[in-house]
Amino acid sequence: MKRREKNPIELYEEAVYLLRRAPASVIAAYYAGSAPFVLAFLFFWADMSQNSFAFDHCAPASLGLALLYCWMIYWQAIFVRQLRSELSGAPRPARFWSESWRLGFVQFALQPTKLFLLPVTALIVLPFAGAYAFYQALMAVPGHDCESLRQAIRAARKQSAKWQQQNWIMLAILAMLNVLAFLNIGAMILIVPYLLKMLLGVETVFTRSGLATLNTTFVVVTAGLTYLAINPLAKAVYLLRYFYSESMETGEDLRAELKVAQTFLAVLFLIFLATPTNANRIFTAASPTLH
Amino acid sequence: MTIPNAIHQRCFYHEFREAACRCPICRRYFCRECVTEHDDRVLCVECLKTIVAGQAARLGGARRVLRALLTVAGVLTAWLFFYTIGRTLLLIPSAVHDGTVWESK
Repeated sequence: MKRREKNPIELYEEAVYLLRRAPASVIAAYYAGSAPFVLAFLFFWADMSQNSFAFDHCAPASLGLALLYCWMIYWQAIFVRQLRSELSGAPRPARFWSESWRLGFVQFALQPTKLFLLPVTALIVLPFAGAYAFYQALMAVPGHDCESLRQAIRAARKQSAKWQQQNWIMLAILAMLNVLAFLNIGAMILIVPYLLKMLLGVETVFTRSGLATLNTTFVVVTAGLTYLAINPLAKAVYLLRYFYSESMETGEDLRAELKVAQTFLAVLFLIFLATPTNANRIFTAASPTLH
Repeated sequence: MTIPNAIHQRCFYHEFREAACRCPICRRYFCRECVTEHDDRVLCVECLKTIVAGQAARLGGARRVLRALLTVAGVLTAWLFFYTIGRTLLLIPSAVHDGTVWESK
């Protein structure tokens, strides 16, 4: 029977489950890279929009931000890699860190191009889904495909070109989640000053004038927090898409399911052994001379 | 190498075998089994290994340089992007950033 692509909603459910069962170290790897970049970006934004002398240090500040961006994409790639280990049930490879540097090189060389290409493809609309899936797939490329840049590009292109309908639906869901998270976080930031005034009597600039929230920093802070909340889910869901697409050839998903089934059967067997009547029967059969 | 000379010689690795040719690099004599053709030359195994290892090392060095260059190119691309954002933000009037542009005069 020919296997088809998974339902996008199922993929999102699975991605949430994958993130929830991931160890804290995996989530920490994501935020170790992303949180410093988002904080630096907020500082950069506020500095460039408020500081009268910002023109003088725009170049070094943007270089620092670029370096933090590279730091972020490296840790995001590590995060995706560790999620992949969780997904396939495979132990962490012995040469994890040396392979991670190869993975990092692929990210450093290719991911920054998305800063220019994704907005352009978004304007053209039609190639956007493919381009977005390609950059997400680059993070999910397994270690053995990171030997060379060409190999990594080929692997990512191959997997991202598949199942375009699923990709578009996934993007639509992702956009909806981003809007919902943005509104929620924005509402939370707006409500906090009023709660402070109501409960503690603390007056802030936001309670004095509601228009004070209409500054660009407020929008960027909300967008930054939205990114930190939703992006791990986007990474996880595109990892699953890559994993299932690749598994059509490698059968890795079946191997992962077999591993789970093996563990389940082993637990069942232990429970069977632990049942008092069975234990007694086995003990009797093993030592007939005692009776 | 001349054939009559080779006939009187023995293989470097197999002393009971007659030499079939002479390696142009190490100048030793070898039987048919101990040599192979590489780049239109008949070479012994040891010399071929040395050549291949040298090529791999040169290729590895070039690859490392290329990787470093691509990494720097990636950082520069990101720098250019954030620099463009910074310059654009500087061009926007502060009234927009503050939100005072929306207040009625």
